[in-house]
Amino acid sequence: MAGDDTVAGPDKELLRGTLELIVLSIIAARESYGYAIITTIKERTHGQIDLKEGSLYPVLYRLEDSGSIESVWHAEGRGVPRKYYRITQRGMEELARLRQEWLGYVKLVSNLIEGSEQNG
Amino acid sequence: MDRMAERYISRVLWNVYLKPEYKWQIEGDLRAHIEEASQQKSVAEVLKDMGHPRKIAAEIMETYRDSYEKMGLWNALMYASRVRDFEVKSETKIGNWPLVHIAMGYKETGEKNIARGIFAFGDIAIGGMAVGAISFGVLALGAVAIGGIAFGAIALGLLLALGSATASLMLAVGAIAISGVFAFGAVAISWFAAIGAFARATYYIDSSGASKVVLGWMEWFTTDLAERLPTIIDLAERLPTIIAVCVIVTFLIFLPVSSALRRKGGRAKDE
Repeated sequence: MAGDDTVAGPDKELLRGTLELIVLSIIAARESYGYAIITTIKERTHGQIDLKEGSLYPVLYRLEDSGSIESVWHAEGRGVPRKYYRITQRGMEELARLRQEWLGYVKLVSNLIEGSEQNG
Repeated sequence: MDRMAERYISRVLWNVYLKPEYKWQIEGDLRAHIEEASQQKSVAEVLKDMGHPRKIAAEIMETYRDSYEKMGLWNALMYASRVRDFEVKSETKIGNWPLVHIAMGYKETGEKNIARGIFAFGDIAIGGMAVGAISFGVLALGAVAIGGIAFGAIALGLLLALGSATASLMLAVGAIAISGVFAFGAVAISWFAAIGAFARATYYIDSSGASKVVLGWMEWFTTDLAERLPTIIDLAERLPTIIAVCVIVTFLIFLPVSSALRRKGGRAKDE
């Protein structure tokens, strides 16, 4: 989106709608902290999604509020403590639901697009 | 921590309209994030990458703008004054009405937002206590206020109307005051009594004089004034004590009711 510095790649609303799924997927693979989540998203999308802190942290708070993830501060002998997030059982269920919903939606849209192209 | 980073965090938090506990959480996370990221690059670069503090705050508020419980009344009102279209209501309800409803501007459908609540704030507000450009309520405050007790540029109140142009059944006070019982104003018109530069009523006092009955009362009052003065002074001295007692009694009644409502709201949320 030109002129939008929240994300570099996909539409802002599209990203917002899938952010919980993305964040839960990353945390489900391995417990993680804010900076690492942003870096992971940026690396795996080759910089196409450059998520801002203002977008990530509210999602983390929301997921924590709903019981999908839980946080714990670790210092690990370092000067800077890190707030790690890990997924809960409820979060795993939510992730499964969101993943199914997303894949179903992608399939539906793909069918629509392909159908339109064939008809066209 | 770097002063530039401290300033940055302060600017983010300045634009976040949430209760202190949520602001502290955000502060802690931003602090940890900047410290983490600044191990790879300079603080200035980290802050540049993070974007303008207002944008960070706007993103955070975008998430929480539906949560009255996280904002609280003052923050919600402050946030409402900063954005064009906004609606938030408390989870605590009395009957079908939210305890607090703030609504400004328009919905996404283009429909006008109307605040309806025990405490309602908005362009158009309807409720127990309604504050808005146009307000209807038991207690109504606004440019145009209509209710039991109304304060506004144009105020129509059943018991009391106070403002520029006012009308009431009981008492109207304003530049132009029209009332059933008492009217006070530059122009005061009432069925029973009126006081003003221009007053018309059964009993009135205005720049041209007063009605005969009122003149009689004034004469009676001033004749024995010297004898009654000590009693009047004694009453005036006790007035602060009387007001203090009234305030304490009001709080003693209000606090248990308020905490009971909060508990009820909390239970409803848990369920």
